[in-house]
Amino acid sequence: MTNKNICAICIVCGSIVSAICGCSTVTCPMDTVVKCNYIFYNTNGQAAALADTLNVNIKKTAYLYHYQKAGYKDTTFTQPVKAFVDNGYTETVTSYRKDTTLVNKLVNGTKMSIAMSYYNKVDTLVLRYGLIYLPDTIFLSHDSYTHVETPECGSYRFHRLTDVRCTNRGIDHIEITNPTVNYEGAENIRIYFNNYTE
Amino acid sequence: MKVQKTSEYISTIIQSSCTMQGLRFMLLGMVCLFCLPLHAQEFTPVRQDSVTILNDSVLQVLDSIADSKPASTADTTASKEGKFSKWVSDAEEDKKKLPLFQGFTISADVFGLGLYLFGDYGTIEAALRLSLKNTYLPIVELGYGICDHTDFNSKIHYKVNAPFIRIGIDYNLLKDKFQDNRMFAGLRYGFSTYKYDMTGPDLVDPIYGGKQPFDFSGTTSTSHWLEIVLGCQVKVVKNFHMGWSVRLKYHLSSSKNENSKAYYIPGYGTTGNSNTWSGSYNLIFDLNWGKPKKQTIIKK
Repeated sequence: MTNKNICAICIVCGSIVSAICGCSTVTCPMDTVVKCNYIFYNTNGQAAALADTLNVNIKKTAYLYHYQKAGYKDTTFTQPVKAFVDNGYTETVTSYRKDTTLVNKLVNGTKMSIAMSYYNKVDTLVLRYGLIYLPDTIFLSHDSYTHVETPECGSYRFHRLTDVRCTNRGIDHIEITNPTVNYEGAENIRIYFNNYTE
Repeated sequence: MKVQKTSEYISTIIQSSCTMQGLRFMLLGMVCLFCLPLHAQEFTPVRQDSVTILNDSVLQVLDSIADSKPASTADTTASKEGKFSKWVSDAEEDKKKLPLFQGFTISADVFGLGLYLFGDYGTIEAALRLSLKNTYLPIVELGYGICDHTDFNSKIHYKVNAPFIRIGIDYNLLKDKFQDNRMFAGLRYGFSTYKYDMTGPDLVDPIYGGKQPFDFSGTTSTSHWLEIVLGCQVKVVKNFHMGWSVRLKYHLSSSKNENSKAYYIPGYGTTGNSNTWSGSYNLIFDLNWGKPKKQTIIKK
C-alpha cells in the first residue's frame, strides 16, 4: 500500500470517526436537584469570604392526616390515605412547622447553593450566624416550571426569580443577578454582608 | 474501449460493495463528498492555478486510488495528469451525450420500518426522484415518523406520530452515466411539524414536599435539519433496483418549549446531540414516463 493510499484512508477514517464521536452519548447533569447560587460580597461590592459560621434553615410547613372512627383506634399519617375515608373514617388535617437545615456550620464561605421549592411561590431562608445573636431571613419569590431535556436525564424543576428581600442584621442588602435558575450553575443572587467579611 | 472497461469495472464494484475493491471505491466517493470545493468545479479535468493545495492533494489521492486498478496494456499510455483526471474528463463527455430528462423513480425505505418493528421508533417513507442526465437527481422524500419510547430509569414516556418531508439533490458519482447502477452523494433539507406527548411519574419535591402530575401532552414543535447522503443502488431486475444510503444529519433548529425538548423528531431521529447518523435501505422502481428508450441513445 502506497503512502498516498494510506493518506486517503486516513482522511476518510478521520472524518468518519470525528463525526461519530460528535453524536455519541447524552450527558446528563450530575445533580438531580436544581439549586440557586448565592455569592457573598462585602459592602464595597467585592467578592469576599464570610468571617463567621453560617447555618441556613428553610421554613416549611408539614401536614399530618388524622383518621378517627368510633370504636376504632385513631391513626395518623404524614400522607393522606384514601382507604380510611372509604371505610368511614373521618379525616382531619393539622399543620406544623418543620424546618430543615440545608447549610450546616459553613466557615469562611464565599458562596452557597440552596435548593428551591418546586411548588411554593416564596421560599423563606433563615440565616443563623455564630457572632450575631439574631438571624437574618431571606424571602425569595419565584415561578417554577418543569423541564425535560431528554427522558434519559429525567425531569427537573427550573425557576425564574421574581423578587428577593431580607432582614438586615448581618446582611447589608441583597440583589438578583441572574433570575434564571437551572443546572448551568450561574450566579443567581448576591448577598452583601455588613462588616463580617474577610 | 478503455471507457467501456472502466464502466464495467465500476459496475462490478457496486454489485459487490462488501468486497475490498468496493470499499476502496466507497472511500473514493467519500473523499469526493468531503471535498466540496473540488466538486464545485464540476470535476474540471485540468488543474487550475487557483485550486488550493488541499484540492490538488485530494486530486492526487483520487488519482492514486484510480491508479490502483489492475494494470492493463492501455494503462501504459496514461498521461501525467493521472487516471482520475482522465476518468473525469471522459465522464463529462458522456454526460453531454445523454438527454436531459431520464425519467422518475419511486422508492420505499425498509430500514426505517425495520427500526420501528424491532425498536421504539422508526419511519415509513417513500421517495420520488427525477433523473437529469442520470447525473443530477433531485428528490422528494415523504414519510411518517413514529416513536413510542419509555425510558427505563426515569419512566418518562415520549410519544409522537407525525409526517415529515425532505427535499434535496444527489449527484451520481459514477463515470458511466449510461448504466442503471448509481453511486451518489447528496444533500437534503428536512422539515417536520409535529405534536408530542411526554408523561411520567408524579414530580415530588424531595426537600420542601408536595407533588404534581407530570403530563405534557399535545406539545407542538417544528424542526428543521440538513442531511449529507452517500449511497448506491444496483439494478436487480428490469425496472427494480435496490440500494442503501448512509446519512449524517445536522439539526438546525426546533421551536423552543419551556417544559420539554422533543426527544424524537419525525424524519430526523433522536435529539441527544446536534448531529446523528442514520441510513436507509431502498426498494426502487423505475417509472419510465417519457424516458428516452435506450436504443435512441447513441453511445460512442
